[in-house]
Amino acid sequence: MSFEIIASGSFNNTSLEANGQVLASAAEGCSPKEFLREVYKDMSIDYVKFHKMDLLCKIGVVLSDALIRELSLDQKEALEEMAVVLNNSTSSLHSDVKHQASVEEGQSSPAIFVYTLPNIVVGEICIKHKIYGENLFLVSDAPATELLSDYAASLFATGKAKQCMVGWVDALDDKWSASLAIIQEGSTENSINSLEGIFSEAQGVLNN
Amino acid sequence: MENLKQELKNFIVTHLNLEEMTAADIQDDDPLFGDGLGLDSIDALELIVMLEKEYNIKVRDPEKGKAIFQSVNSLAEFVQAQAE
Amino acid sequence: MGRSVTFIGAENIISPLGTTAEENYSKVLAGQSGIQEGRFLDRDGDLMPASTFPEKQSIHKLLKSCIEGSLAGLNREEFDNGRTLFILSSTKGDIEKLKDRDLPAASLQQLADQMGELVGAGKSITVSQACISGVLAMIMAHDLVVAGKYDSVLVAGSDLVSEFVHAGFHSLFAISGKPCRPYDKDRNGVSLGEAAASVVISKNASTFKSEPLDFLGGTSSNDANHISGPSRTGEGLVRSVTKTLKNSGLTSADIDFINAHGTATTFNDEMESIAFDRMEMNTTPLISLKGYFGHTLGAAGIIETAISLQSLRTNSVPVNIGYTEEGTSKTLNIVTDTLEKPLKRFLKTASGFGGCNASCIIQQHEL
Repeated sequence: MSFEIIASGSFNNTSLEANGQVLASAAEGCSPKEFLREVYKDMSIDYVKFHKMDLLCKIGVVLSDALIRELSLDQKEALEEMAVVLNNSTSSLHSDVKHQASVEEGQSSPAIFVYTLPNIVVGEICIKHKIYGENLFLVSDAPATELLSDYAASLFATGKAKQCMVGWVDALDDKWSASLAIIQEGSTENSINSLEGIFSEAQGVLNN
Repeated sequence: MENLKQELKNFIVTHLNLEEMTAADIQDDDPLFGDGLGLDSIDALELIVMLEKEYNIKVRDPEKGKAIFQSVNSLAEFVQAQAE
Repeated sequence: MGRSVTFIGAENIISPLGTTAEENYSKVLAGQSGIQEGRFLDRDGDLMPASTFPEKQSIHKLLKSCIEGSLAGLNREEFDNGRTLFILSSTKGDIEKLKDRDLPAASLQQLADQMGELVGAGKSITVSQACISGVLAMIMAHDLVVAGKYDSVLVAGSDLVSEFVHAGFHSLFAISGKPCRPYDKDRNGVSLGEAAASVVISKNASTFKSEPLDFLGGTSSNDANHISGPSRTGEGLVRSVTKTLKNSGLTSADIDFINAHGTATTFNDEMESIAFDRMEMNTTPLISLKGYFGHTLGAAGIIETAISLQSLRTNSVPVNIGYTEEGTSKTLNIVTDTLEKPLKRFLKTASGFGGCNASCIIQQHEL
């Protein structure tokens, strides 16, 4: 099956790019934390819940926002049934480490614990944009491009979804790497046969 | 009591990651949940953790939390009462 | 859309109730629960019930034994044709390794790869979607087989009762001080459980030594509401079950029993009653198996499905242990006496943190 890319982008600790345009770049000497804060402000995300989210969710929400805001009215209306299929290598390690540390101190924070599952980023994206579609979160050392492609194709072939947000969202400590695309079944000359191109920037953040 | 209220407001801001707010933004009788600060059920549980960590007060029933966390006033009264 | 069918079988379970699916099922029918009092010390220094093994387990060994049991139920020359996939369903994997600060060893991929090697699978991947992981992994397996990408998929799930997990649930006030009571008026939280379970989903019935059941696949849906609280209207669960029934060309009247999620928290069980009421399934016999195994997280969807595969094989449905009195605002037909009658098909549902919900349908093999 071939796919049509409706929107795509990537986000790492030095730049945010969507649909071929650089939306933000970290200035010289700017820490990842400061860069993220700036991106949140510059993109006017204006979402009170953002500050409670863990790093993985913040990255997923920023990049998915950058893609969704560029959709046409029709495409935005179809968001309700969009599938969200994400993948990473570290699962929720960023929050796991924090939770483990607080457990060892004899304290555990519910606000940290609820983020110790990688699929919460899927949930946060669905909540923000009122998406009720299919969900899936896969964990693998490197982007599971073929499986993601096969699965997205099957969602379209069975009618379970017409659009799919698919990609990689990985984050740990102060490093993150995210690549997302919103795709649909494609039959034009611009259609792609593989999702590899979407993941060319995607990296695992452990030991990187 | 005023010091306690100020302290509680600071703890609310830091423990709940209310980045776009300061203690000065929270009025003593603002409803903390629902329309007021817009806190949710996880925030309520987080405040229970805050009480244990900062004041050594253990709330065993999260349902009781609703009354305690109505506002900074009710929270301060509760903390004061535990100290006595 | 025509109904697409795969075959499901070679189910295995390793839990405190036994080391085969049959053994686990006979204990369940006899009303035995794996949940015992005093299994771990919580943050307040209270002894809490849980369904745990007498000795500390290695998740690797548990999964390995379980998978070996499933493999023994297959005709290997059919299964090992180079078109197999292994899917691991787990929320935390070997999370205890974090205590040693051994981040790579806690990796889910490492665990999936080791098990995939044991299975001889061409590829291995982990589905980590909170409590719906197991059901979702089976749905994914079905979809990939129907799409012709793989001929057989072995799906295995496991999670252990670790301090990481019970401390977390404790901070949510979600753990009951007594063995859990799904749907009951006096329910007040989950009992945690640990186990491993595995099933095989295949294009060919001849892959299995014993006759398989028919798997009609399923769907998932997000509540789009809250990351840890269920939707008050059961929105995601309603959407998923509605889609699953529609895609199978069935209606709610075609379901003989529901194997639901029933964690025994006030909110989850209430949400399910609202969802099933909205779908007019108040009279369909319904059970949660969490009173027998506790909430086994990544293993839940698979262990509970495996038990219901045994139900179809034996035409019996065990009672919803822990339930005595109605405790939800909408009526459900909770099974309180073992059902013994010809059974055609069941609906399995699951709901999890992150607002996700999944459902799938399994039926007797149609020759």
